[in-house]
Amino acid sequence: MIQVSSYLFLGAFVAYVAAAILYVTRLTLRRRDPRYFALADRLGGHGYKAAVAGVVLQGLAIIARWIGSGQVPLANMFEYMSFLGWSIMLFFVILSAWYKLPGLGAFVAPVGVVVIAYASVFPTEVRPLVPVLQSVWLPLHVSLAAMGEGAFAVSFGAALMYLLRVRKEHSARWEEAALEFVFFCFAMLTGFCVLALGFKLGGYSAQLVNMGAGAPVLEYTLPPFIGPVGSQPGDASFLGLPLPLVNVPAWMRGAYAAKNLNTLVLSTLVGAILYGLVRLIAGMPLRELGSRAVGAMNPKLLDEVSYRGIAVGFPLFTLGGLVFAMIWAQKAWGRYWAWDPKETWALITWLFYSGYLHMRIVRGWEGRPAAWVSALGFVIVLFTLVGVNLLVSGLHSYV
Amino acid sequence: MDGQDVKPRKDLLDQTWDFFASVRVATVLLFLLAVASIGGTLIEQEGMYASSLPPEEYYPQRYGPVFGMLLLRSGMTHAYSSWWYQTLLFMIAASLVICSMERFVPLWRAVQRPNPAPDKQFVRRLKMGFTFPARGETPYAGLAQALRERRYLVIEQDGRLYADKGRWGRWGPYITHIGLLLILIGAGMRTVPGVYLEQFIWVRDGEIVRVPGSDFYVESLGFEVEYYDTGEPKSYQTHIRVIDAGGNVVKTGTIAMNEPLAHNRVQLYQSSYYGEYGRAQVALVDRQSGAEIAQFALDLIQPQREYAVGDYRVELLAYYPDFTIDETGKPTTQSSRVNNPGLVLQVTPPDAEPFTTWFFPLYPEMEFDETTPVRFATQSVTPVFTSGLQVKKDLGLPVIYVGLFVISVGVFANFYIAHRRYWAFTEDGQVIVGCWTNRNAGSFEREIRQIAHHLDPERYAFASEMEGEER
Repeated sequence: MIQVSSYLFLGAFVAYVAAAILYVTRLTLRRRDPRYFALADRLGGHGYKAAVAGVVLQGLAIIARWIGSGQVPLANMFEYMSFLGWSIMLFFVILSAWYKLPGLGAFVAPVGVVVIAYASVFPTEVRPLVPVLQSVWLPLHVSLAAMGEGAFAVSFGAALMYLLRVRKEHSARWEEAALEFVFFCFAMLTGFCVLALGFKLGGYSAQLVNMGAGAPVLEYTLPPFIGPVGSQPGDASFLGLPLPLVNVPAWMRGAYAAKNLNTLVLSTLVGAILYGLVRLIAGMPLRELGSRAVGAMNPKLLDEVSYRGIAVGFPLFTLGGLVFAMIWAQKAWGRYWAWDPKETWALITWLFYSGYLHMRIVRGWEGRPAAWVSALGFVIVLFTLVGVNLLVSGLHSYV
Repeated sequence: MDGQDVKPRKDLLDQTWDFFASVRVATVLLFLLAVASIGGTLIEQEGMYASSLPPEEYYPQRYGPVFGMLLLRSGMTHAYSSWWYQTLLFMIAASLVICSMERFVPLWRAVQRPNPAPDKQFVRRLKMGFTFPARGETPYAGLAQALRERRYLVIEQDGRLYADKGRWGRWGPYITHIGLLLILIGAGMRTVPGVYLEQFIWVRDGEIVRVPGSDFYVESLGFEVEYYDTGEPKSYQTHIRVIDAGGNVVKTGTIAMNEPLAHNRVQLYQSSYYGEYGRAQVALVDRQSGAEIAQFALDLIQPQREYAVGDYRVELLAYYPDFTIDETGKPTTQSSRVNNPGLVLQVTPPDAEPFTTWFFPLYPEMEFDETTPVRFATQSVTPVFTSGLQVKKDLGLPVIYVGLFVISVGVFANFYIAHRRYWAFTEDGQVIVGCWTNRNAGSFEREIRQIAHHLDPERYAFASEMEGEER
C-alpha cells in the first residue's frame, strides 16, 4: 500500500509539473498574438485538468499511505510538506475555477511543484509515531494549519500578479528590486528542485560524522560541500573532489542545519545560473516578463483573489495553527503556550496576516501596500516551516 | 498672537481614546507586535540555555561583551516578559477594546435595527442592483418569496422592502476580539497568587511523594516504557495511585504522554524518566572451591548498614551509587543515581579476622584484592524506574479554552458568513432594488443575477460570467 501510495504521489507530481508547464505556456502564447488565443485557452483547459488530476491522485496517495501505515500521514517533514503542496493545489483548483482566472495557474502551480519537490527531498519512509505525536490533535492541528498555509500560498501568487500588473503605473525603486528578487528566489527554489531530484534519482548519498545535535551520522542526498560540526574533509567525495570543503558554524544548532545550509548554498548557485539563463534568453528583467504576462488581467480581480486566499486561509490557520496547537500543547506538554520558536513564529504569521486584514479596511493602505504584505506573509510562512528548523531548535522538533 | 484654537481642545483622555480607536493605529500595533516577537526566537532566552551560568555571565560570554550586555539591558534575554513587549501587549488590548467599543453601537443600529426605508438616492447609488416591472397589488411578492427561499429575513414596511441575512458575519471581528481579550485575561490570571502552579516531581517505582502545592500524594505503581520493533519508544506511562491527606486511596490511574491525570484541579503530566539499578541478588562464594555460601538481596537504592549472609556478617562502610575516580585519584560518586554502584564492605567470616573489600555489583569480577577467602557474585540486577511528572495547576485554563472557542467562532463567522442586504422601492411602475454585501461580492452578484433573471427574464438574460482576463 505504501508502494501504491508512492506511485500515486509520483503521478500527482508529474501532473502538477504538466499543469505548471501548460499554464506558463498558455500565458506566454496569450501575450504574443491574438491568433494564438484559441490554442492558449485549450492549453489552459488541459492545464486545469492536469491540476485536478494531480489533486485527485495525491489525495488518493495520502489515503493509501494512511491505510498502509495505519497512522495519519502528517507526522514528518515529507508528509507535512507534500500535504502543504496538496492544499496549495487544492485551493488553486477551487479559486481559479471560482474566479475564472486560469492565468493564476502560471504563478501558483509552480509554487505547488516546488513545495512538493521540496517534500520529496526528505526521507519518505514511514516511521512509527513517537509517544507525543500519538494524539487526535495531530491530524487536526497539522492538516488545518497546512490548509491555511496552502490558501496563503494562492494569495501570494495572486498578490504577486497584482503587483506585476500595477507595476508600470508608479513603482518605487525598492518595489522593482523586490519584484526581481522574488523571481530570483523562485529560480533558486527551482534550482533546488532540479538538484535535489536529480541527485535523488541518481541515488547519491554521503554519510558524514556529526558532532552537533541530532544523529551521530548525518546523511546527505546532495554532495556535502558544507559538512556538520566535526566532519573531516574526505569523508565523502563528488566527482573525485574530497568533501566537505568546510564545516557548518557552531551556532547553527538544528539537527539538520549543516545539511540545510549546504542545500541552500548549492541551490543559490544553481538558481543564479538558471536566473541568468532565463534573463539572457528573455532579454529583459524577469519582472518585465511577468508584467507582460499579466498585462491583460483585471487588477481588481487579482487583488480580490489575493484577499480571498487570506480570507479563506486565516480562519483555518487560526484554528489549526493556534487554537488546536494550544489545546494540544496543553495536553502533551502541560502548557498551552511556551514561547517555543515554532509556536512563536506561528503567532508572528498570524499577527502579520491580522495586520493585513486590518490594512484592508484602512483607506490608502488597501491596494499595493496590502499586496506587498500578502506576498511577504507567505515568506514568513515559509520561514516558519523551514527557517525555524534551520536556525533554532525547540520542543517542536519533529516537523 | 496668531490663531487661537477654534475647536475646544480635546483633553488627554479624549486624545488617548481617539488614538486607540483608530484602525490605523491597531494595524501598526499588530505589525509592531509581530516584529517584536521575532527577537526572542533568535536569541536564547533565560532559563532555556544549556548552561548553569547566571544570565549576567552567560550572555556576555555567548554573544560577546558589548552585544551580550546590550541584550541583557534591553530585556531581549527574556523578550516576552520584557517591559516593551508587555507594553505592546497592553496597547493591543487597549486598542481592541476601544476600537470595538467605538464601533459597537453604530454597528448595532445598522445591523440589528436596520432602516427599511432609507433615502431613495442611497438605494440607487449602491454598486449592485436591478429593476423589474411592478405588477399588481403586491409588487414585492415575487422578490420577497425569492429572498425567503434563500433564507433572508424580509421586512415589508411603508411600501418598501428590506431583507438581509448573515448578520453574524458582521459581529465576527467583535467576537474574535472578545476571545483575544479572554486569552489575555486567562494568561494574566497567573499573576494572581494561588492561580498558577508549576512544579516537577520525581517518583521512583513504589515511592509515595507529596504533590507540591496540593494536599495529596501520589504513589507510583510502576513506570513503563514500550518500544516499537525498530527500537523507537512507543509509549511512556506511569501507573499511579492518588492518596489523600488521610491516607485513603482516592484515585487509581495511568499517566501517559497526551493523557495527563487530573485531581483537585492539579494536573500531572508524564514528562521524563530515568532508569536505575534497583536491586541486586548477590551470592557469597568461597574463592577456593567456588561453592556458594549464601545469597542476599542488596537494595542498591538504599542499602542496609549490615547484612547477615549465612554465617558471615557484611557491613557497609561506604557506598558510591555512581562510582568514579576524581582528579585526585579518590573514589567518588558522579551523581546520586544508581548508574554504576560501588560498595566498600567489611566482611566478618565466622571463624576468621574481618577484612575489607570493594564490590561492584555490575562488574563482580573487577576486584582490587584477589586474596580474600570469599568473593561476591552478582546473580541478577533488577532495574527500577523513576518517573518525572510535571505538576500543573492553572485556574486560568478554562478562561483560555473559552477564549479559544470564542476566537474560532469569531474568525469563521467573520470570513465564512457574509452579511447580504437588499432594499427595494417602487417608482413609476418599476421596482428598484439595491444590494449590498460586506464580502464575497462575486457569489453575491451571481445570486442577484439569478433573482433578477427570475423576476425579469427579458431584461436579465443570463449575462456572461465574470471574466478574469480581457481579450
